[in-house]
Amino acid sequence: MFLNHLGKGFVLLVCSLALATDVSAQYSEEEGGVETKLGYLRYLGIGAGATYQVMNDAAISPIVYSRVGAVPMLTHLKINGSTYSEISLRASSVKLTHNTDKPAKVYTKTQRALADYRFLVKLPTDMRYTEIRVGGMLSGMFGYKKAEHLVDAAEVYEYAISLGLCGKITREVTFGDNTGFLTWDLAIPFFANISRPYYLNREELADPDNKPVKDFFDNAATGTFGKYFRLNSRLGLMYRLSNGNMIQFAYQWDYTRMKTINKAYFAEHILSVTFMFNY
Amino acid sequence: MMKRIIAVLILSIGLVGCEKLLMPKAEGDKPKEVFEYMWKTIEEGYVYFGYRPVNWDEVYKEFEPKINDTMTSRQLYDTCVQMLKRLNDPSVALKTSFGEYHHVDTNYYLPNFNRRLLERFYWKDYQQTGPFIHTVIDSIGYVYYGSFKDKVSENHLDILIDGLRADTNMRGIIFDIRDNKGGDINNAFALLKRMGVDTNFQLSAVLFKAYYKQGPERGDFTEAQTSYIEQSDKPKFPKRFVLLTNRSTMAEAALFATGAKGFNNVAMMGDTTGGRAGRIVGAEMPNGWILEYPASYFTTDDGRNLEDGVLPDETVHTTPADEAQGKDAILEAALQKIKTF
Repeated sequence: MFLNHLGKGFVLLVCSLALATDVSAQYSEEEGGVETKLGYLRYLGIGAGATYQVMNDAAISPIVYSRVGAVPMLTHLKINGSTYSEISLRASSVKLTHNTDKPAKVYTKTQRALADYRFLVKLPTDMRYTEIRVGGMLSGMFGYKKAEHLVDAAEVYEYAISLGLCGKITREVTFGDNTGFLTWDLAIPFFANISRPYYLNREELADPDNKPVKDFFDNAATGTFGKYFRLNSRLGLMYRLSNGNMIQFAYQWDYTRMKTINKAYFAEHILSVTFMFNY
Repeated sequence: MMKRIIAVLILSIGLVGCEKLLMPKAEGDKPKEVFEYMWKTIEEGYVYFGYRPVNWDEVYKEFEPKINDTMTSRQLYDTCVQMLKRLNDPSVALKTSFGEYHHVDTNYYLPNFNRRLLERFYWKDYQQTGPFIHTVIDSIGYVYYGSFKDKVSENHLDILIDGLRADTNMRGIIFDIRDNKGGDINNAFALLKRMGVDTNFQLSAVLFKAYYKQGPERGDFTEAQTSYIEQSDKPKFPKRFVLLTNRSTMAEAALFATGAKGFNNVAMMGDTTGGRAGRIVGAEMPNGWILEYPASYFTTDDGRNLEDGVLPDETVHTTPADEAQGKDAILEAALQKIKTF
């Protein structure tokens, strides 16, 4: 059952593993791998993981829904001695459920796509093996929920575009002859534009001129922590292979609260493996 | 080194622990809590408090003392059903894993539709195009559309209408939506675009007005959302158009009926339509039960609530005596009306 959920992710992982060990970086003899002319190290990451999602959305139900699913990820890193930029994309589709009324097993299909862009600069420190970087994060999230057991109130569309602060601590560690990095980063948006459904998920389908997309954007609101609160914490271990590529094992906790006419909470725990191809 | 790793781990796990604090406390699923939640859901979402004679606050006072946390699920269900019955609304339902409540309208209406009789005496040599059963009776086109759940495609309409228009002796159309309990409103729009008269003028017809609940207070409704249909250049049903309805013409079929009445060449005959045109929404209770209720309502252009049904231009009933003689009195009256135009 668990493997069924992870089927696509598992295949992706195996393919990525094969690529990571077979594809050598162009200048693999150099410690740190391939650098651009401007001195950047670039990595393209393909990963997958298991996600445990917890959702409580007043537009769907007062009950907390949860379930384990699979999540594919794409990452692009560009690093030099002073700056760090990262684009990370992930998407998931999980049928969340609850056990409140067991005989009537119900599901809410929950689809989410997230895109985060982080840009950080290195802070000057005296620590030899530890780096601290701080910066900003621009983030986009689109969510779709469908509770098929609820007549005509079943669909929730939502999005959030946010701007926030983030920080990252990186500690170089050694594993025998190889080096790796232990990282922890935290991001908190402070300004967001979000949209959620109207009261009782109103859709004016009885109007031939109904424009759901226009309605969706008309219902958008801009605000700070009260409207949209997200806490994204990632703990990762990056292990550098001899060919300059890296493997990252990570645990990520992503919590979101959106408030419009009602409140929606979403928390996600992700255990992932990402193969970082240096190019 | 290890101390730092442990510190980072503790910090990260500590943040995860915050989730318990950041997520809302789940609504309780004890009988009293479920009852309160159900009453409040209706209080804040139901649209017919000003229309149906029910004092919901009094209902609360009557039923709240009957609820206690030691009662079984079945007892709670039975009590909640008694409470919901006070709304006297066929659109309200309560669904659980062990039973469902649907309000039954106990008023008696003449059926005014007998499919077997139509098949025996009127639908001889009928054809079917998509969802439409159609034939020609005394140079009058007859079309039966049984459910708005059945997709109306432009292709089917072209075949149907081109066939009717090709007959130069065609005197008009009878469009029968008796016993049509609704479905997809888009099928109604597809049909309405094929109604009216061929003209180069840009005409539009008012279909209906919609009022949606937009907040928890009883008067929190949107402004009237008036739906129009614009003149279409697609081929239209030719000449006079008589629409047949009965009490079992409901929901989207009733919306179609009120929209169709806006066209000058359309007459509606039979019985007043049924209601149930409001948008029904489902709400999950804290114990997993599902409550369904109307969260919007519709009126005709002149303000008549569609729960009262759409009035025909000519009320005609098919009595059991008519049926005994093999007559569909409503269809006969429609045929006569077109012949005498």
